[in-house]
Amino acid sequence: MASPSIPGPQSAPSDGGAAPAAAAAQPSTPLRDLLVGLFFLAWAATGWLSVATNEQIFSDLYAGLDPGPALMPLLVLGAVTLGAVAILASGLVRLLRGKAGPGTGGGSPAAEEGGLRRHLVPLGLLATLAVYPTIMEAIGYLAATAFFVLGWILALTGWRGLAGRGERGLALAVALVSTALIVGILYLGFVVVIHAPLP
Amino acid sequence: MNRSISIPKFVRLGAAAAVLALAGTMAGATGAAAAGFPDQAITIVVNWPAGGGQDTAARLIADYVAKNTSVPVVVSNVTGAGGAAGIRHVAEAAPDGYTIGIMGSSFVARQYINPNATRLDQVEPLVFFGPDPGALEVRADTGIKTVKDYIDRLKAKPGSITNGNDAPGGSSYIVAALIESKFGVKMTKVPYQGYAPTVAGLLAGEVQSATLPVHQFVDQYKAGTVNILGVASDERHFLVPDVPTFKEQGFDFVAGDWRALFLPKGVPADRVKALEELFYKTMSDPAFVEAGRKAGFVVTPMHAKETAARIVETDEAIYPVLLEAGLVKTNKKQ
Amino acid sequence: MLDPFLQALADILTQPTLLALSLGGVMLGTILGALPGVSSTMALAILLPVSYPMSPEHAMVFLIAVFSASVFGGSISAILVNIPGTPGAIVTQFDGYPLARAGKAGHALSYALFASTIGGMIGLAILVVVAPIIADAAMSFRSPEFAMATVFGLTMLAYSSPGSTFRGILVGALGLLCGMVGFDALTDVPRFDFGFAFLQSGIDIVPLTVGLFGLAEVMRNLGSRQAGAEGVPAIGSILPPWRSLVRLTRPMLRGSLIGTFIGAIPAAGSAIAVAVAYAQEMRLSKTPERFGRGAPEGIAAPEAANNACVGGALVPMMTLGVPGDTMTAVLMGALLLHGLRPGPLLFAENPGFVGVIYGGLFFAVAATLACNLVLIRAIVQVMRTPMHILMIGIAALSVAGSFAIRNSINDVYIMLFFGLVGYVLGLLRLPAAPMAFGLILGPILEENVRRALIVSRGDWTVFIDRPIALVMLLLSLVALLYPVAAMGWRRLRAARNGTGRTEPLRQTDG
Repeated sequence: MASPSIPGPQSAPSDGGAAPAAAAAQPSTPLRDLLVGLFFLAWAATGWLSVATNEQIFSDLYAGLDPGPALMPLLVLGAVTLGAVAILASGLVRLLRGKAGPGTGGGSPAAEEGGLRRHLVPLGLLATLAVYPTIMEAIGYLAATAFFVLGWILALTGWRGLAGRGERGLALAVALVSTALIVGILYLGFVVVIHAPLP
Repeated sequence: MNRSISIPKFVRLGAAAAVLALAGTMAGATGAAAAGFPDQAITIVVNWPAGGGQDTAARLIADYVAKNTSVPVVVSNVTGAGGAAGIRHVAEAAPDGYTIGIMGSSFVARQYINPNATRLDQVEPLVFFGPDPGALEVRADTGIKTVKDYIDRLKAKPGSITNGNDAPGGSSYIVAALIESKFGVKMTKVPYQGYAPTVAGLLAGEVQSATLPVHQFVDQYKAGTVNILGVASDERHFLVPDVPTFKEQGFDFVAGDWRALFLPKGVPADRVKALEELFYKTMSDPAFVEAGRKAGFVVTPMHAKETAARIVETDEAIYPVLLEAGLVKTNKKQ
Repeated sequence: MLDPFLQALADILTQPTLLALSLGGVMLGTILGALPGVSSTMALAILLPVSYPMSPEHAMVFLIAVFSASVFGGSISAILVNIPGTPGAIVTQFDGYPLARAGKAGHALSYALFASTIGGMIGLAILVVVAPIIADAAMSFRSPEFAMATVFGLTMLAYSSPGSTFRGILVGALGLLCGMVGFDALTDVPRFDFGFAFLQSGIDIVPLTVGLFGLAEVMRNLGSRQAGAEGVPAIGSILPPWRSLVRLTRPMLRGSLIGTFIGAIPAAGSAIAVAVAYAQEMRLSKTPERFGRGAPEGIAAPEAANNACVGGALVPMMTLGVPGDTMTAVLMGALLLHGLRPGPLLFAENPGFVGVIYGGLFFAVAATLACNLVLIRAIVQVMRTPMHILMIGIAALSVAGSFAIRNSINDVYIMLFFGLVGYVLGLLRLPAAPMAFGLILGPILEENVRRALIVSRGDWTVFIDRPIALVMLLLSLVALLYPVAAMGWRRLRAARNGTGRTEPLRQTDG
């Protein structure tokens, strides 16, 4: 969905277009199956861990007329676990078969998307967002937000592509104005109008 | 290409809007100015979502308190954990008097049920808003017309009547449980999430009776589809003056919810005093009482001391019931 | 019923105060609805005190305008930045956002706007004409019916989400698990709290959707930017050609009907309605693979359903005095403050006031259309913002929005967690929407299943004993089995022709 060249409603999906969309239309690779299976399994394991350490949850299981708070978690966790195992198994089978006969196995998701390096910026954003509330509590919402927004906009501006002072000055102006705009709109909307008690 | 065209326009538009936005910010920041306490906005924290009884009461207070103070009073909903999150938010707020909470009787029950809930000794009662007496309603097609009929029916066949109420610990659950222990009967208690779903459950015929405050059923009572058997308070309810109390029918039974404002522990005494006077004065205003009546509230303001006494009273009444129902999981009394 | 309605309408048009209040309400409602983190309920609650000093008529006209406009407002942010402004707009973004990214934000917004108008009008018309009949039907819903309606909604969603239905269901199951975090609704036992007090408050839908859709999309964009795929989408024409709107008449009508009837069921809410409307369009479409990539029907039908729910939700409030959802609960609270009690007696005692509510809603729907036709031109300019600036703006907005819903900093962390989850889901090519719907519908499902069992004294046949519940259960089964059967059929045909896909393990993406 990330690419701007999503095929329009008139064009058939087989026309290709953006890489992610086209990739999604292809059958899942065995390796991705394994990752998907592990993903679901991780959720299930976390869930089982919590259920297993929760004594209260079982005390009421069929104690009265109510089947109790444990029923649904057990059913859903069971379903997720089975589903995860099924996907893992099918991935494994296909992976092994793929090794036997070349040509059917796909590349790893990391390779097909340009290496792990492409995750650096998104995860960096997540990391700064994780410390942003702490900074917010220390120096206030306005300052922290201005700092965060301006910092990231400047970091993301493609400086190398810009030639000369004029263009760089313009880019800086754009960054400053958009920071003021974003911070202003957020402050107006959330603090002035709806009185959200942001620090 | 596209970008080089769009930037100048973007800058121009943006600059204008940014100036406007900042101007708005400034105006907002310089609004509050006064010496002494209070000199900044007071927040009333409601632990239930917008639209509920607690929320309506808080917004009404916030609206009328403006008559008596120059600082803005805003309502903020901090919801979750069955009401415990909002209470905890207030208990853990800075004890400067600018954060006030509103609580109901479920606060008292919650401290025994949920180990993480705020305990009564962690907060400071401020001003009592008023009671929200419990009542007993049945579908008209059950043919039950008095409290005695109801009790007799249950005595003859325990568990034969399904009653709609809150989850364990909620105020209408407590009323139902109190009826059970007081009269030695057993009903089938069916939990609903809040009052509106309980009303819908009774109207749909899923349950035959309910233990909600009367204002939920005024219309259905007048239309004749629901019988209100009795009000669990000392006096009749002004919304349905023809419905007798339990006492009038020979059953000494008073129960129900109430609402009160409270502060975190540790607010300086002079500030507590100032807030107590401010809110007591606001709630004593006849115009406020009238506005409250319109919304179905009984408004009987009380000072901090009486409020604390009332809370202790509730505590003593419901603790045995919770203990009996196996709901006391923490803070067990010796 | 028509006379007081026309009278009220004439009043609004001839009294400048009423007219101004309604227009003001529409503007405020649109803006607040478009802000992620401000639900329709919050918009109403925030503006409620403004209405205290007004006369009951004025207050109602104003609040109804806010309510109705905020529902459309929610789809503005859904289409432009992939964050549903209100939960009912989640489905609108399935196709609205891809369309906007393809440079047709104006078209997407217009489809949504016209669909909103039609949906709002039809919802109102049905409210005026057959409110008592619908109310009767809605009131025959007990816990077994609620439970099965929820199962039906969940099935429809898993069926309509892109990719494999099986994996969609599993993601939905994760949503169900997220919905169980916090206190159990019926026993107050804490679940999945891992010892954290803040998790006992449960996971709110707003931080989850903001993270899952908004932040995850920002992260994806920043990732692909580095890989060299940068672009500022062109805006193109604002208004779609007339004939493309005319072609959407049927989806809009279908969505409106679905929205009104499902919206009338207390507590079922718009989430099921939009899911059903979307799945319905996808099933009826000759080219279902376009869905999820900017299909106009995928915007029109759920958006019509979402807005028709306004009329639908007013049905139980007006006829029985039972608010169908939190929005109508606030409206009812406002009426109570003015000493008016909605319910069967209001029709008998105060038909004029009922007319005001209907007239106010009618005018609000019309005013939303008029105001936004003008505004769309300005709104789409957001798309002109350079991509990286827009993305950082959305990130900052995500934080503020997820904080505002419950005024809790913990919700910001929850939002960040789901941002990561959404990003990973994208990498694994798993659909994110079922998780959001699992979260919304899971608690309703569990509560009603268990309550049904309490009332039936543990007898599971309660779900097939009652006809409406049985029908919905069967419909869900059909919806689940249909893709399997269809795939088998396609496989068979492909094998015969020798031209089909060699590996039909997944449904086509769409």
